[in-house]
Amino acid sequence: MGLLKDTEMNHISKLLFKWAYFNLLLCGTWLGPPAMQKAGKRLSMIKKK
Amino acid sequence: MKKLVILGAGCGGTMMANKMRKHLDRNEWNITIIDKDNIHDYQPGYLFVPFGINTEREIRKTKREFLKPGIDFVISELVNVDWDKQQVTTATRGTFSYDILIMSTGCDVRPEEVEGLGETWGKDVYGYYRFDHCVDLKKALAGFEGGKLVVNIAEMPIKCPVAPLEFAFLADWYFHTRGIRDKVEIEFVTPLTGAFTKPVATAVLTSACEQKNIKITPNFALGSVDGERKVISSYDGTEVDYDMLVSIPPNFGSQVMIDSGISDPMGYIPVDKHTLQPKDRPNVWVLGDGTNVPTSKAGAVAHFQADILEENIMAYINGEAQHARSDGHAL
Repeated sequence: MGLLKDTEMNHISKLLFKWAYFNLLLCGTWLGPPAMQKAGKRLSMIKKK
Repeated sequence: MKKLVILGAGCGGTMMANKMRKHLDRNEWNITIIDKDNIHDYQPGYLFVPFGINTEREIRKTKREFLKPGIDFVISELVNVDWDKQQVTTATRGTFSYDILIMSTGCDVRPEEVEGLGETWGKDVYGYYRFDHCVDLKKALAGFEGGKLVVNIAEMPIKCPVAPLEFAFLADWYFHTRGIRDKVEIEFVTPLTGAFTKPVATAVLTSACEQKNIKITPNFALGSVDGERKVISSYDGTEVDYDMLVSIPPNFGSQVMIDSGISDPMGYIPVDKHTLQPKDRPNVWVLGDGTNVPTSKAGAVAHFQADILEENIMAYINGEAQHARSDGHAL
């Protein structure tokens, strides 16, 4: 776990995603709505553009 | 028996085959998926192979093991797609007609498209967008004792746009762990105006590069590579020298699509960006990296596109209106 010490959660997330890829995504499992979740997005910046 | 044919058994094609098999009656619908080989690479893992973090065993699987029962898997090179005749032709397994066609043939790097890059590949010039490239790069990095490492994006679009920056960060970590970071200069050379495509992310990533002593050279449109002088040149004449070049060559869609006359010159299939269907082809859908949709080329995008296709294809089969619309997002 010496990898990227300041972003261990990022590293752990990548390991979890690999498991999810092989065991959930490829199987065609539904993981949530396909429309973009807007929570936390800075939509005002998009409007300015 | 009606026929659903899927081209490409990568991320998008496999998801679609498994989704559709759940919905379609086996006595009414035959599902055939066609690909040139039986190797399924976990492509996000490519980035970690050169640094010894991921091994072949961890990221290479067979395609067949992820396909549900009731899906015919044909291994053969695709040689033609004919939308008018509603059939596809393979090199060794003949022709397949279809009632519905799903295309997910992806994209690939083409070093030979840049002057000097193809000839120089493997001689202090490496990449990580194919598994064999990753293995070669791992060996080269292990023997690198110091000098200037340049990470260069030839042009956009590319698969997983943030991966080149991740590579630069991982290289920083890798050389630190080897105790030679002070002997290695890392430069990130990009055609973008900054570290990334989006302003908020660019600000954060630029700061991260500064902290890690990674130089960013923006607005660099790669024109050629001179392997003898170890220099990359942009179209405006700017030159950047290197001791090792990690190149992200131009990405192209499948050559078969160009040869079949159904793609743009880059091999990407033009589709409606919301329905993911080519114009006037009501029984054809395209997803993943092989479309011309202006979104990231990433498995996450293909995943959300697959949900749209699943809903709309079932509506098409049932004679209902198709309401699902792709918004192109990745997360």
